Amino acid sequence: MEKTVTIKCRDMIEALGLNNLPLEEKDSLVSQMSDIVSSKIILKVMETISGEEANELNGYLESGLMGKVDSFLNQKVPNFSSIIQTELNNLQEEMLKKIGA
Amino acid sequence: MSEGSYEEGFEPKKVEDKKESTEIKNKENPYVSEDFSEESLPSDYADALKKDKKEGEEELKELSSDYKVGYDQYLKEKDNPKKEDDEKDELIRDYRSGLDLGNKESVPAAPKRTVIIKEEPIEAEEKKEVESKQEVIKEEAKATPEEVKEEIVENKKEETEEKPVEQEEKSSQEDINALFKMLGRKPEKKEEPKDEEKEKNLKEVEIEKLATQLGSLFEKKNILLAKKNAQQGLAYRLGIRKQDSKINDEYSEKFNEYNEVLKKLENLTGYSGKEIEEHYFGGRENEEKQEKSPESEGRLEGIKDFLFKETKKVNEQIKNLEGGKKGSFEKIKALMKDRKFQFVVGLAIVGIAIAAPPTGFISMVTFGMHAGFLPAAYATKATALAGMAGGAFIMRGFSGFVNDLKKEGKEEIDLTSDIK
Repeated sequence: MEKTVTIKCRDMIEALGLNNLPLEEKDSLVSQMSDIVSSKIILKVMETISGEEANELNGYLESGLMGKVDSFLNQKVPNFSSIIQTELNNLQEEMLKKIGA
Repeated sequence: MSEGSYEEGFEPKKVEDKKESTEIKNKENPYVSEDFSEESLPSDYADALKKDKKEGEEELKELSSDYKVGYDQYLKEKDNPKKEDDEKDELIRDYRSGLDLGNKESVPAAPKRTVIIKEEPIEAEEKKEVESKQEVIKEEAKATPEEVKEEIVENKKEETEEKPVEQEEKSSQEDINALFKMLGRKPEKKEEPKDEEKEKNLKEVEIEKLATQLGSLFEKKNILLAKKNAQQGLAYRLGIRKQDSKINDEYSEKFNEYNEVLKKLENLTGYSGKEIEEHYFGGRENEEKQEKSPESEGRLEGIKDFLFKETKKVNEQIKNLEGGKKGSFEKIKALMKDRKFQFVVGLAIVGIAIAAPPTGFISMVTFGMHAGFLPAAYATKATALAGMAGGAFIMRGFSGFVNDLKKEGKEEIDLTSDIK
């Protein structure tokens, strides 16, 4: 059985003092943040692999061979969960620094 | 007959009557002369007449003595009249003495009161019967209240087969109650859990249906309200833009529909409209009405500015990716959105902890949270999460969905319990 990894960070909406915002605005902010974090996670994955490996991965993705993609990423990016955690923390810190909270 | 005539008509009157009757008789007989005498008659007729006269006098004497006795009796009764009640009491006494002797036939017709006397022994008999049954059951000791109840109902049914159904049930219930009272237990009421459950389920289904309807009307109402408010802008007031009069009517219609559904839910749940809205929409309206403070507005502007710059920076980095890396990036990004991986990241951003094995996160990108793409071990939890992400997310938006999770105390979504 694999060890469980828990990804956790502070509630950014609360930390930024934006609780009183209308739900639509909160949703819009969270959506932008998760988009940025997701992009940064993939960029980190791309930094981890070489150009050739990226071509191989692209081939699997184009063919829709998801089993191959899954095993490729598990092999080449074993720290995938820690990348997610790091990117979340970085975003949170930068935002808090920006608004001086 | 009046009292006076009775007195006057006594002895002397009767004699006169006799004379009168003879006179009438003579008048009616034209052959009898008025001035006849016994001497004028032949001897055998005279003898017969004498004999008749003698007999008549004797008869008259006898009648007079009878009248006298009767008159004496009358006077006596007049002085000491008998009361009606005494008569009745006498009758009852006679009747009871007749019962004691077991000679009912000789007893005079009983007054109505005796009917009550007759009922008493029957009631006592029934009571005795029930008590004897209770004694038998008591002796058995092991019998449960249900068994006792059944036995009595069965016995009673056999004994009173000819009784009408209602009467039979009533008397059975009385017996059962009496028995439970004796045993010092409360009679158990008949339970009908099936009907109650059925009713409860129907109620729940109805509430669910109305809640869905309410959610839909809430959204429509708010969209129309936003359009309605937008028409109050300067451009509309100056006539630069033309107002759509239908929007006001449509909004009123939806507003009324919404209130009707809310009222139905109030009646079904017993909660107030405010409580229902708070439950389903998390006080969304109140939040929307809250005015932004200058401080929070400034903070919001700062965050928006930061996110804009970050997005620009990320886009620059993506643009700079080489060959296969750029292609891979775009495809993985699309997968993340499709497989709701981005949604899980969003949960983490608002403080919901996500737990899974390290390989689990990659699998979420590659296979997504759909049972069809996932290995069996992932299926349950992932599908549940995808389900939540679907229904609740669409209805309430991301933050509303997160509010629900937090209200339920779900500060963490553990993906490991089903991932072995």
